[in-house]
Amino acid sequence: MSFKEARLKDSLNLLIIFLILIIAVNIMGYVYYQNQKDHITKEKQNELLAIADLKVAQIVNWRNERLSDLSFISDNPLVVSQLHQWLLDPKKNRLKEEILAWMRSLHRNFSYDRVIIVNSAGSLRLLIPEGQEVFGPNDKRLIAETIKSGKTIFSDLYRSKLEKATRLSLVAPIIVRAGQNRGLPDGAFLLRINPYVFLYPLVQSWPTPSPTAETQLVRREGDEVLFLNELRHQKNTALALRCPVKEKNRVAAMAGRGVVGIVEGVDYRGVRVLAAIKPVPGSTWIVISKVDAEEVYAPVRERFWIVVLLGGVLLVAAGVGVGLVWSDQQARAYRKQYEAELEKLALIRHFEYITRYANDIILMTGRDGRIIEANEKAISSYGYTRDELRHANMTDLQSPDSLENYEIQIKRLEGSAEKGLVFETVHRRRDGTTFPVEVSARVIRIEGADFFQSIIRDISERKQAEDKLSRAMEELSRSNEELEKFAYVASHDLQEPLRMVSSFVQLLEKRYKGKLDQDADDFINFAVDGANRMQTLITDLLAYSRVGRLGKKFGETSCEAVLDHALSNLQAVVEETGAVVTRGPLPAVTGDDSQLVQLFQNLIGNAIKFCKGRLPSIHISAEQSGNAWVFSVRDNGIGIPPEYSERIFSIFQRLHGRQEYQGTGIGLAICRKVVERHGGKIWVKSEPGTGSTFYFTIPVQKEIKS
Amino acid sequence: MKNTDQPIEILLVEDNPGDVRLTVEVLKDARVRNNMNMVNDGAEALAFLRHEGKYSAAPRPDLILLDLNLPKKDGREVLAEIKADPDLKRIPVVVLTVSKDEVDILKSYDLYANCYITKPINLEQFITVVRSIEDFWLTIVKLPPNVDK
Repeated sequence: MSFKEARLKDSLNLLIIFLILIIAVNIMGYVYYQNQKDHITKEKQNELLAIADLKVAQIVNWRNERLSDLSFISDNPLVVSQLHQWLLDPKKNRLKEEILAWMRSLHRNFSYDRVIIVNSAGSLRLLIPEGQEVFGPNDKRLIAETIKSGKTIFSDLYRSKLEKATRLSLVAPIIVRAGQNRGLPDGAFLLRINPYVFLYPLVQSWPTPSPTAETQLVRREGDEVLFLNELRHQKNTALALRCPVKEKNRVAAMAGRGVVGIVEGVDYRGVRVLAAIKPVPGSTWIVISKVDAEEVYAPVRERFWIVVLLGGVLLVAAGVGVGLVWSDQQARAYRKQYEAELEKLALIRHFEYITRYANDIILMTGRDGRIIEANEKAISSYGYTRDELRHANMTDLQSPDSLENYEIQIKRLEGSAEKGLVFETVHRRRDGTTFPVEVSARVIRIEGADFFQSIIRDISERKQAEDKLSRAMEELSRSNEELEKFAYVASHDLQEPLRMVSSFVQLLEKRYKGKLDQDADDFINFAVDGANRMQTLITDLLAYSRVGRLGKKFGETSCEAVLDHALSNLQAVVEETGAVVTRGPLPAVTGDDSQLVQLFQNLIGNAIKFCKGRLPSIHISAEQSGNAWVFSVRDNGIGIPPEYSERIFSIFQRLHGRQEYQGTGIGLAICRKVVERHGGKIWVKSEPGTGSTFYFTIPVQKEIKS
Repeated sequence: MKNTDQPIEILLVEDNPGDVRLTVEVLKDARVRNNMNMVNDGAEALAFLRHEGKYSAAPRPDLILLDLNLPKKDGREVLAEIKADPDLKRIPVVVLTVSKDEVDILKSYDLYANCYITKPINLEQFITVVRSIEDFWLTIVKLPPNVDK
């Protein structure tokens, strides 16, 4: 996943979290708002219902009180009797004064507008407060009805045309009870009530402070609903304002249609209201307690805004939180990217330095050999500028003779499974001079395309060194050869004069021994001895020179047979000294059999020679150690001091005087030469006085060399 | 068959006067009478055999003792010419040399040398060798030159 993708994913996750938060806040807000709305609405409804009930109860109570006021008169036999007597005899002034006294007390104590007594004809008899009184049609009807029926009447609200005001009247008959029979009323007792004094304020009073709440009192009149009281928001409405029952949304119309309980609708102003409707028992009145919806829902809306505000705050907080996380993430991501880029840059710089200041030429080429990039060393080595190199092809850098090799190597690199290879070739500078190089080429595959990276080392110095070494080797080998040739020629040509000397001295000895004097005999002896020794020396020298010069080709050689041959050559000396030669099993090796015979012969010959009076006991054995056979020739001779254990293998090296041991000092040099020619080593371990063991190795599998 | 009283004619081809003298001295004591003819180089040897120049009266040798290392024409060439010459090829040739080199040996045999003798340094050995030549060539082998005569 790329850095960009990762960042996008992180951002997306955060966005999703943020969205979830938004949704959660919204749901929570909505649920809370609904809850609050329901709660507030319910509370308001309950309040309205309670107020309506309260109003109804108060109105009922008030009516009952009024009725009880009335019954205090009509059901009081004393009062009725007084009235009866006075009405029969209006001249009884004392009686009249008594009657007027309680009438005044009624008026004063109970706030009746008028307290009136009429006779059975309906004519006014007494009036408190005293003054003029003219009955309107309503009064006349009520009085007539009461006198006729003998029943108490609580009138509805009505409009008094005389007073031009809304009034309410209570009328009771004045009947004297005589036993079981009820007589005809002597008159009627009328209490007129001004609703503005108590009823309307009672209705209008609201138990809680509210800017819009009010209670209405209505009644149905035919197809209309009549407002009975004065309203809060409109004046002169009592018994004046009407509305059709059919109006659907009007709360008053609903009340007129008999709806009871909580309703929502519009009021007389056309304003939306919430209302509680309750009928007043025992009357046609209906109480409507209402409050503007606006007021009811104000707290709801307030809550709504609070919720919105709270939600907003929460969302902002969430947004800020998510934003902080996001920015932190971004910052961290950028820091990470920055660090990664820094590392990458450092790495690039690192490789750039390595490449640029490398001591080898580094070239990057395309498949077609086109040079894409070259380092400083390439520029200095080939003598081209960087630009020229970038326009050059690898073939331009090959010396004419190595072009063919270049094609072959490229094919090898492309074709085989080898990812890289190293080869030597010759490259050409811009000025046409050439220099030997070692090329380490490697295929770099980048998105399917192959590139070659070649690390090219100028090996001029190495080549020179190699040439020098090879020349030195050649020189050495030639000088060795010449030395061997010289040794051969010297020894060969020395033999001729030596033969003359020795032959003639021997002839002299043969013919003249004992015929001349003792001195002559001695001289001749010395001459003969010298000639003999010289002959041995020359023979050995010749043998030594032959090891390298006349070696045969290597072949499968049985060491058992070789030892047999060597012992047979030594037969005379073995018999003469009585030497005991024993052997372990010996392997077959690849080698020159005649030289190996000489090797064994020299070693065993030495072992027998350097015994000094002891019976020579010699053991020959071989064992495999790693990749070589280790042969050993052990004797019980005089041994060799350790300081000489190296030197004895040098030519002409002798450890003993001629009188003691015969020899030319060539035998072990020949042994070493033979062993070395077979690819082995020779050494000796010895304890002077006890014996010596000569070891030599021959590789188990030695490639045949001539 | 040659009369045994007649000395055997021996041609010694040798440039080294010491060897010449030594051979002469050793053959002095030989049981078979012999007449030594000596030449110093290969050219002279061939002239002797072909009776050329001063050797017009030279005898036909019964045995040639030929040294390999000679001035002018060396022993190998002399041997090759002798063996290529129908008149001379039946004369036994004993090659005398100090060289033990196998190359020389093989070359000599390729050219049909009848015998090959390394000149020994020890006088006694030399005497023994010369004696054995005597025995072998002068008494046992029936020599072909008689057939020609």
